[in-house]
Amino acid sequence: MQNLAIDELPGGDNFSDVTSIFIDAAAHMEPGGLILREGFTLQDAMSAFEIGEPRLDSGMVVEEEERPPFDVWAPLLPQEICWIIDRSFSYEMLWHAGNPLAHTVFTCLYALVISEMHADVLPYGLDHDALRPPQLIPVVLRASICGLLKCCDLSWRELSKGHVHDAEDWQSDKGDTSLLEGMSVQNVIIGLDVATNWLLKSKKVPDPWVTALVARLNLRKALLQTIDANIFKSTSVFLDLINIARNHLKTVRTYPSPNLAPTSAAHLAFDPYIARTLNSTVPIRVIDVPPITETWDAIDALLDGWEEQQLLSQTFNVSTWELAGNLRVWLPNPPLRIPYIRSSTQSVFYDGLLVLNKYNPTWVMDRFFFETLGVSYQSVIQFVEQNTQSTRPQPWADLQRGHFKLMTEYIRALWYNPCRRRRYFMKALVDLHIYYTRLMAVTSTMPDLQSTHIMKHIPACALVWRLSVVREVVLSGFQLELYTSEEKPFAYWYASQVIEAHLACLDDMLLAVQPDCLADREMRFQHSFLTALQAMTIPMFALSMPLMSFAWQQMHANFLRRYKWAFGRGYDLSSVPAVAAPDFDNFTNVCGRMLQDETFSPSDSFKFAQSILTPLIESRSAGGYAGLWTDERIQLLRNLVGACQRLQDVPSSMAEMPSFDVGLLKWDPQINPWFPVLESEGAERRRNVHVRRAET
Amino acid sequence: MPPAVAPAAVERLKDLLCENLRVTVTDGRVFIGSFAGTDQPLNILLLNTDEFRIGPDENPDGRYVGQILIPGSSS
Repeated sequence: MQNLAIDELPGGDNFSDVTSIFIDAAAHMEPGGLILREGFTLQDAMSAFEIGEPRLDSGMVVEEEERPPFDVWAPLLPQEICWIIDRSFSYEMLWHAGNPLAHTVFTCLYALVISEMHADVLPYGLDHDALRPPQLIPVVLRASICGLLKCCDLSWRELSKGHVHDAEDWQSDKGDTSLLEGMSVQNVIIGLDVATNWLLKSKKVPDPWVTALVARLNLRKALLQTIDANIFKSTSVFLDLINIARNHLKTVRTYPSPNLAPTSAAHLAFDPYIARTLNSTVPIRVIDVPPITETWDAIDALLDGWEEQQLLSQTFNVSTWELAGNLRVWLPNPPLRIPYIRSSTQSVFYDGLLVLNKYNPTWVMDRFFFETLGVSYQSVIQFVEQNTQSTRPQPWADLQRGHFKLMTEYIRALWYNPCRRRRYFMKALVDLHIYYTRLMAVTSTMPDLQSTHIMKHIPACALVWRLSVVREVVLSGFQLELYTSEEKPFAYWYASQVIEAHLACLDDMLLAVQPDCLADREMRFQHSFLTALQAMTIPMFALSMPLMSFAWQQMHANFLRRYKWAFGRGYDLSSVPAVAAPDFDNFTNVCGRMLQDETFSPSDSFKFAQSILTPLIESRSAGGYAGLWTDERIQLLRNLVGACQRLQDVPSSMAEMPSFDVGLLKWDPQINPWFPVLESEGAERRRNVHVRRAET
Repeated sequence: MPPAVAPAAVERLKDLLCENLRVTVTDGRVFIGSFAGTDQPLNILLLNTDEFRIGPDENPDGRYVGQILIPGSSS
């Protein structure tokens, strides 16, 4: 290090040298002796970052990480600028994928010195190099980096609304670094336009690089305009912007940036260790930049997300929103949307004041009864008020408030990350049960109605909603690979029980609902879908029974832990017992009966499920509210048929079960979220794991 | 037995507790923070510390690094 005079050191000259005081004191201290300020303990000292320890000291520079100083004005070739812009796109997508800004976007050193990169401060005396026009940096690169930072700024604002979770879905830490918060979008767009004009008119950049750079600037502009656009103001403009971005992305793919020589100055534009100079306590991690095609694919997926959002903004059936949200989790393709899209989609549905930018709580309640039963909320109120035998006023306002909160949170939760989504559902089940009991209380004040009377089924609207959430909680446990082998039989059996209750409810409601209305069509679809799903879960219960140890006491303890959401205190407050609550005692009885059941055939059960699903696929019957998501709902059915076909070689009777190799069952959520495949590869290993678990 | 009286040199060091210290380490960084404690090998504990670099990567505004321990061998 260089030797600096004491007054040249940072902190001013109000310091005096106390080195000798330390050395003298150390000479008089006992080994192990400590001097600590009052109130400061050894334990407090343990949480200090140790300087010089590479894992903790984020500011430490080890020799191999040393690099030449960054020169913002170092002249660059057009293709090098192109490469820097592409890499900055990659880092932006890596930030969207959940990495910290300090390890991604801010590793681009131009992003940190953007305020110095103005054409007006271009230094005099730069060498004239026709191949490296100096304006490329303050005009073209600056415009692109400004666009990048502004896109990150607008995304950051959306992400910080609280719809997705900091440190779980995304990383908010800016390390005290600017994302051009104070610069207007319009200003950035002007910069991008100026850069494009300069490229096209100055003739200083040869083709193909002029085309490549213009395409990249145009792509950035379209992305920025899309992030900034109000989807409700003009949906056609929003869609146009997405299509424009797609066109520019296509051109960008056609004009790739070159692979640069290791000696290229462009490499110095990125410092993966930049976090050491930023105000960030996150330990430094060097993130590998994926091949550029993956970045373009990520931008394509972002555009797909926006496109779906645009369709959703025009979707005024809450059931369709629910379906679209579920399909994003149930179908492997497209993969889970990035947090920004999951957050902005939630904002589109509910901005904290209105639903879909124009509807109030009454509309949400109205859609609920209309989409479930085919009757309006007003007709429900009118009927109850006319027929109630109670003199006390009905709590409509309370019900409506509770329903609005529950429904808006539920729809938003469909775009949470899968783990948080499941946790939200578990918590919401109590509220859904209470909502059901309140509707029961309302209808109990009326004389008993016949099953064919639609108003008899008002509480069932909440019940079928709750049962579908219970089913999702149970089945998502497979998708998230939560269950141990021993827990799987119960989960499949319980799923079949929940579906049984759901089907019974639908049977009753179908007696009353007006034939061929949307609610009727949706209910009939649900009936077929659930019947098939049940026909798949029951044989899975039978097939996975060998995974159990039959140590009932231990299994019961595990059961109580796994299904604690069903035994919360909230249920005690309700006078109505929860429908289809998990029952371990019943399960133990059923296990015995199932093993001796001579009539049940697991393989026939899968064939039966297939026979229900295939006609739905062939006739494209996707229920009443699939709308623009019909193809994807059909794809879900196809995936279930695929699961049935992969399981067709399971035993045809329970008598064959002792010879069934349970190791053949392989759960892979990438193939199917809920059901396993039969695979001989690795069967022995899986079987041994199961046996070991059962023995311990 | 009366408590052992700390030598005057140690007392002088204790007087520095809670004062702002500026410590230069061998890799060229300078830390300014509130002195919280030390031990016989002179590991130094600083609170509310700012890290400064000097030379080409200079950061005149510093970087907040909070509570740090500077090993006796580094300072």
